[in-house]
Amino acid sequence: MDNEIKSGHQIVKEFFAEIEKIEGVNKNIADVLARLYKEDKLTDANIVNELEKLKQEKLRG
Amino acid sequence: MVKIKHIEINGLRGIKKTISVSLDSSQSILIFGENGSGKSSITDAFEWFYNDKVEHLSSEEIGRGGIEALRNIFLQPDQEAYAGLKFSESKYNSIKKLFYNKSKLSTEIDNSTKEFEDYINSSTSENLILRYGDLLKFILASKGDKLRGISQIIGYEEVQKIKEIFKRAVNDVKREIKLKNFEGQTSNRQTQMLTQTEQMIVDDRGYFDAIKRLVEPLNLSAEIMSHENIESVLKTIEQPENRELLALYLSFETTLSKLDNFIILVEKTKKSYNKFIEKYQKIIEDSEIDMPEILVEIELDKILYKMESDIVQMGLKFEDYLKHLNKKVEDIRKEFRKDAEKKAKLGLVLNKISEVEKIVADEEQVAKEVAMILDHYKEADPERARLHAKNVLTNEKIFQFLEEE
Repeated sequence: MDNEIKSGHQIVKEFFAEIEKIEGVNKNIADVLARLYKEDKLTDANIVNELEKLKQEKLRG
Repeated sequence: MVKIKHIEINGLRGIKKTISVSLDSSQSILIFGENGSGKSSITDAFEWFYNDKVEHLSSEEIGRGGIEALRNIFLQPDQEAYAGLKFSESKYNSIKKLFYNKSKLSTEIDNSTKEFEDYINSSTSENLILRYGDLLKFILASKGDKLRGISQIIGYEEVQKIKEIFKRAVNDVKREIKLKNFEGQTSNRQTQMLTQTEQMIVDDRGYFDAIKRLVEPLNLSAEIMSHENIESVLKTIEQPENRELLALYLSFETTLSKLDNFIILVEKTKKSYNKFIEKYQKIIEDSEIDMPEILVEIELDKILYKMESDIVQMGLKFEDYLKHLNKKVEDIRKEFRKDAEKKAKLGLVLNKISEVEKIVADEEQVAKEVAMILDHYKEADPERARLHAKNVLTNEKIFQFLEEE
């Protein structure tokens, strides 16, 4: 176990850096979330919009 | 880890003259004293040094995050107030000053290195001061407020914030799923897939397996482990050269299935032929007829004629064939005599049944059969072909009648 005490900021940063390694997480969705966080645009509305875009792309093949 | 080793304060809050406190200890340090002795002034100096504000002094009356109330009131306007810190690593040592610049309260820090700036920035993300009032407020707070308070202390707020964003996004997606009736669409798709694959599909795995079975006869040697695999298989099938190959495979499949049906048909025919032979033998055995020689001779003629026709059909001469067998026509007639007798006998019996039961071949069918014979045997005599066809078809009808009986 990691004994290092982490700040909330560190926890969130590490979460977004490793999100795509979590089992069962779709890589495209993980990339979108990490990008939104990096650009400081992580809001529920932006997440829903990006997911819709991914869906449309997938449908178009 | 960087540690504060020493603090020197001058002109801040209750401290007018310089005080110097050594904090160079490996253990916790407790500062105690009577009310008004200046304990809070030390913590205020710390808070101002790191956060550039003093939270408990901030109010509407006191502006700039409490800084207006930070200077000792007995200081002369030209006198500087300051807090100086010394660290375990001297590169962070610095003095922060609070002074009037043209009657405007200003602050200045004498360490302008990038390292010090980074140190201050990372320190501000932590909560350095816990006051008695805050602790009391925390104890009396509700469960939710306590969680928020702790989150604030350990910097967990950001995690909470992200969690809330995800929660709202999940709810939005859930609402959309409900609104657009995805469940209905899913069930429709499932019905569709059930019809096309004859299998109930509820997950990707089942879907991939069903597709695998569907494309197996095409021998595409493609792996079906993902939706992308399926798309690429579809693209492969759509390519023109593969379409031809596919058509070939499909026609091969159809031929195979037709062949299967043909085998069944042959089996059926074999069975009914065996039945026919059985009946034929029985009729011959049961009938007691004196056979006129002429009829046996006619049957022998027929057998020889058929034999000769077959030999000629194969491109040979009947005489050569006989020579090859080292036989004469008379020998053949002798060999087939028993068969001819049987046939003649059967002919008589069948004639009688036909007469009694009034069973005659259909003229239209006879004409068709004759046309077929003449087409096959170009040299055949039309009248003899007609007689032969009429006989065969009448006999078929009689056997059919006997079978029904």
